Amino acid sequence: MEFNIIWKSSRGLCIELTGEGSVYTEEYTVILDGKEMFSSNRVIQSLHGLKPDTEYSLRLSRNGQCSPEKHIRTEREFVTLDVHDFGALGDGENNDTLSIQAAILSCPENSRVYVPKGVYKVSSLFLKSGITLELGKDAVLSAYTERKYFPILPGLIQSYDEESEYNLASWEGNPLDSFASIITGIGVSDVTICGEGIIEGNANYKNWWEGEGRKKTGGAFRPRTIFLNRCSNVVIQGISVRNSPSWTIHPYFSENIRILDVKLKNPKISPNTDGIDPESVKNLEIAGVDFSLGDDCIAVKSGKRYMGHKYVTPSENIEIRHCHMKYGHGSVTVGSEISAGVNNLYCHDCIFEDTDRGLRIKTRRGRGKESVIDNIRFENISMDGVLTPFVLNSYYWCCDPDGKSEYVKCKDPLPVDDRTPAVGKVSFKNIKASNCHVAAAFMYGLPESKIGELSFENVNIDFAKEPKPDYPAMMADIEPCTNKGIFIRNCKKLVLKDVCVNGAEGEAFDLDGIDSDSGGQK
Amino acid sequence: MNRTIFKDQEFTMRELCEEMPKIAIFETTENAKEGYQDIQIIFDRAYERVSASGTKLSHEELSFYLLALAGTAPQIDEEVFDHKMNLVTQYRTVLKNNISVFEGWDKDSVRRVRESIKIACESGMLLKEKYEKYIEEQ
Repeated sequence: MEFNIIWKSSRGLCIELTGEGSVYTEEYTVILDGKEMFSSNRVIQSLHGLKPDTEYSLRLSRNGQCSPEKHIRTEREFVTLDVHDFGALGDGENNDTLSIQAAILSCPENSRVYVPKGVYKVSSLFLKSGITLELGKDAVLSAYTERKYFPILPGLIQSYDEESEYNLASWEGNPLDSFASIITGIGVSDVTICGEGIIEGNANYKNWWEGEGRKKTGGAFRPRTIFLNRCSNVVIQGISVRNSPSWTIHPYFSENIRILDVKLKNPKISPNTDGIDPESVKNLEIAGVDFSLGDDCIAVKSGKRYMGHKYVTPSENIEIRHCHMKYGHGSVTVGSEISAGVNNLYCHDCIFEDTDRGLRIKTRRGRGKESVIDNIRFENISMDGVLTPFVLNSYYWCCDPDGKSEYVKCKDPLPVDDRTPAVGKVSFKNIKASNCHVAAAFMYGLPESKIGELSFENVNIDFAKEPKPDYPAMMADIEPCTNKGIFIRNCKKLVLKDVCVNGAEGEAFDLDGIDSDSGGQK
Repeated sequence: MNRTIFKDQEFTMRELCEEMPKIAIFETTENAKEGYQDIQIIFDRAYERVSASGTKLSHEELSFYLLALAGTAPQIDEEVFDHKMNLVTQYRTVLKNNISVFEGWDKDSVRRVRESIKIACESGMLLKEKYEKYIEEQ
């Protein structure tokens, strides 16, 4: 049994077992300085409650076998600021926002703001560079849901010389006024949000998710739970987040972000409650995260036309591993707000369970020539109960007025111009999808801008005994179906190697508009 | 309302000013914004005329054009941000090119430009602290 220490701080660390499966493994015991601490079956596992600048020895044991021992020294820490010392009560009634904010703003570099056990009523807390915000065991940051308690972040402020602009907030790919998030970072760096505690958004169908309340109400759009605007070197580790008003974690124009061993839970049908939405983000690691949500688990974006065209900042270099994604529309979605493109996304060793789609790429004409999706790789994925495991939809019709226009819908080749998006290489290797319902794969490229390469290698798909009919993709002119095979349109190069579709009705492989089919082992 | 009245025929800036804000309201409130693209095309054509004609375009036409933009852009739903900002950018560009001279234009044209600046300041298209001095006659 081998493991690596993938992250450490002054008070905790995170380990990753190697060669031990995707998300879960056979139960093992964590032994710290010779003392058995706890048992776990997770490949990514956190340890909390360590002391700063202290040497520890760590090993794992299972069935009498031990891993090699690792010696580690925790990071140094200057001071801890306990929020109780700043007036926070944590009694579930007092508004503790100002007290916790005072602790954050008073915190020197390489120090920790500590939130001990208790329920702390808060609206928005703003981060500061160089600090750690730790939520202790049984600590809950419990958010207000009344809009009047939340400050508004303006979407765009014009500079006085009218040459530039300051973008503070965002809503679904546009720079629009939004309520500040429960945790908000604006231009901060070297920040850690960690611990065993909970951020409770308290959203429900009577407040943030209520019909009209979903849209702009009270002068702004809904807050996220964690919003990181133009931040760098941020770690989110260990915590749980529940009942988010809208997207749960939204890194935006940020880089070097790590999200480790976090649990994200929103009700199954809650609106726009995506898990993690990296938007124009560079270098992102998502490892050991549990998702149970009402919308996309991970949705990688790079803005709608204005932001994508003006700032041309793609999302790139994203690794997703050892995650369990449950419910929601897509497990890993790319788009649809991807006007600046997405490249180098590698998702491996994950479980997708009961989501509508596994990989879901959403784009359409009009996203622009900068909207290039390339080098998307999926490996070692186990899916169960996913309606359609692989979807690439170049005709996505939601959610803007142009979505259902003739220009977007047209299946004939149109001239390639500044509005035409592109999809490069997308590959799938070692994928098992059981109990699918709708289609094995539904990949529809544009005839004038075909998908560069689709590669399926060692992919095994079977269908549920009682499949539920549904639409394989959100596009015009298709009908609900079940047990559809691999359907591909408009692709330059298609590689099919050891691909097995069991139980498809009709053709298992329905291929058209393929320039080069280089696989015969179906 | 025929929202394509301007699309395939010549139009005056006065017609643009009188109709486009109403068309934009109709599109936003009753037509699911499906005609936003048409609005954009129409204003792009108007902008081509403004850009191509330089000083030859009359002050009256320029003032109607600016007032048309100031009346229309705020009616475009902000969630279709690029359409809204295209109009705002057109307005800012043309206003900036004329801000130092418009007060020498004929009385009605000056009044229209002032009115457009007032709307633009109120709707956030312009920085109020920088432009409000142009709203009232000096």
